[in-house]
Amino acid sequence: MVTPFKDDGSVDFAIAAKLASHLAANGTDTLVVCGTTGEAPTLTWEEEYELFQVVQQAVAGKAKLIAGAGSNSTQEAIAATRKAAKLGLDGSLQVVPYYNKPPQEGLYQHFKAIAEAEPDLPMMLYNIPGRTGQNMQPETISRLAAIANIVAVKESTGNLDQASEIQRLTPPEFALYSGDDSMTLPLLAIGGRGVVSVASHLVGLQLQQMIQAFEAGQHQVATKIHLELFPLFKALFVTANPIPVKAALKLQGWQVGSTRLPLADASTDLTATLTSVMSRLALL
Amino acid sequence: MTLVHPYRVAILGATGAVGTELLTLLEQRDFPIADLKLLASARSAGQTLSFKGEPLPIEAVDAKSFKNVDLVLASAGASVSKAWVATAIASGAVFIDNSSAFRMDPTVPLVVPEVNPQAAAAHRGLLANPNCTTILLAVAVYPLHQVQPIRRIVAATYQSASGAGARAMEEVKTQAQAILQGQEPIAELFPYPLAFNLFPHNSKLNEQGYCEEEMKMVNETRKIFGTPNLRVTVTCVRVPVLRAHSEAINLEFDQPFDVTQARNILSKAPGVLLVEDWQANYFPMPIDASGKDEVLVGRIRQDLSHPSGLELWLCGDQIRKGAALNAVQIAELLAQQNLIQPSIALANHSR
Repeated sequence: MVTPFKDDGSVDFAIAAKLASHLAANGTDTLVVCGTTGEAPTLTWEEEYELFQVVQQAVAGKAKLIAGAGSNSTQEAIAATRKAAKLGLDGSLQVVPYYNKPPQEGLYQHFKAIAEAEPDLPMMLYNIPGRTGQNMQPETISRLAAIANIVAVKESTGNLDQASEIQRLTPPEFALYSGDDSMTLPLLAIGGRGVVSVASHLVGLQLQQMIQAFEAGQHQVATKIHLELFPLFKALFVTANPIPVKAALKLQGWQVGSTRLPLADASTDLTATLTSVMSRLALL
Repeated sequence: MTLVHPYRVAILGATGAVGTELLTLLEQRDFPIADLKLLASARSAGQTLSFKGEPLPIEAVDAKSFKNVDLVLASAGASVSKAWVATAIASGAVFIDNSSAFRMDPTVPLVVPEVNPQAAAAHRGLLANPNCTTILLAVAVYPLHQVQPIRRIVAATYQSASGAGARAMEEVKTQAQAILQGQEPIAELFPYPLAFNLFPHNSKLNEQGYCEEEMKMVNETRKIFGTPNLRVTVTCVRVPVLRAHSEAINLEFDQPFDVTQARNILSKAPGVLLVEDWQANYFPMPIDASGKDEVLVGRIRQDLSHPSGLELWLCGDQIRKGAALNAVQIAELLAQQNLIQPSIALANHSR
């Protein structure tokens, strides 16, 4: 979920609660708060903990809540995960340590330590080499899947070969989620569970329709929806997420504010593209 | 199937489990649609759903929503149906209601197209879709009733979580995960945990100890069959199955009903799929019934305790045939007979 900011740049908790409620009512099963889309790199831990609590209250009973609690420092990730567990959240999202490029064994030890620090809190691994500079290999994911509370991976490599390897090497109850809206349907075809979505801010109900149609065997219906929404999927990643999705929400009248620096506001070109794509999808 | 002309259709309750199934079925069965409106509560206004690869905006329902609408398919609960049916009919629409609000109203046809299609012609702008468990039972046993009248039905239902909506399915899955991890399951939607548990249907009990769900099957079956003296008794149970209801049915006739004949009849019955592999011990199961249009029927056998009794077992997708598909089939029936026209008499419904 995006993190709304006021004009002065501070977090707008009231809008966050409203947006969370709205998303839960329109297709979202679980909200990820303070992930990449939530601008975690530029939030303070204090802002994050308050956001967890505000969103938790807003969606209580209607949607589950996962905390973005990852870091490229194992100690920091453990501390953040402990706080998420204390709040009674439903899980943590743990990104592959970025920038310091640990070797595969280091990745294994990192996630294992976090999992063991809070063995009752389910963990979703997050592999996104485009941002972290390091790909977590399917073998590493497979080793981690053997740990009881490591239950899922959010896969953002865009690589179907890697996804197939992960599926081959992990047990069926280990869930593969798409980290890219445009890859959701292809991944469902190889047993993926769903998507950690950005587009759901705008088309949550249609994404549910697509996933449920696929799971009910109505593949043509699911494909039609995927292809219909595909221009939106691409437009939301034309520049670094969440710049486009915040601009899109603002076009719909949501007061979510700008992104914090160093993320610059959407360019006029991007706004024009979004306006055109969203109009054609009856979203404006 | 030749249909007359395209209709202006509205789905009331478009975002619910039945609503989205209605959307899928209208597309898959190619119902002749001139215009399609998706109506829901204000929470979903501005959101979109897909129809034939195109986005359709969802509108918040209001008094103007039913202008220029020929047919309303409603599945948003009894109170929403009660709130809007008079407006819809006054605007000239025919209203097919999936809720329980008007099923027992004597002026409202309660229709299962395979059983009593002729009842639809008497509509005064409003038709009711029966309860899911009733529809599945009716489709499975009516073909036998046509050969020899059924005198008594004893039914026990095994009802899945999705009968209570998509969130109910999520709740069962979450509870199962909790239990497998050694934690306490939390019951929010249902009064008790449903994972690895079952409980008698939690709808309101009457003075004789029967719950609403059970009385629906009793009363609706009698109305649909046109047999007010049919003896029916039911136990409805929620079981930890995600999708598709199952029912164990005992039928009593005046004369013995030959099992082979029964099997033959059901193998050719409309809307029924006979699933009987005695060698492999393979019979209807919810996982096979899910997503299918037909009611799966099997384990047809002589009642050991009664000379003219039959036992059978059925499974049916309660969102499809038990709700959305039956409603769309009623719509198709009306279209075929040119019965989608502004009603002459306004039905009197209180809010």
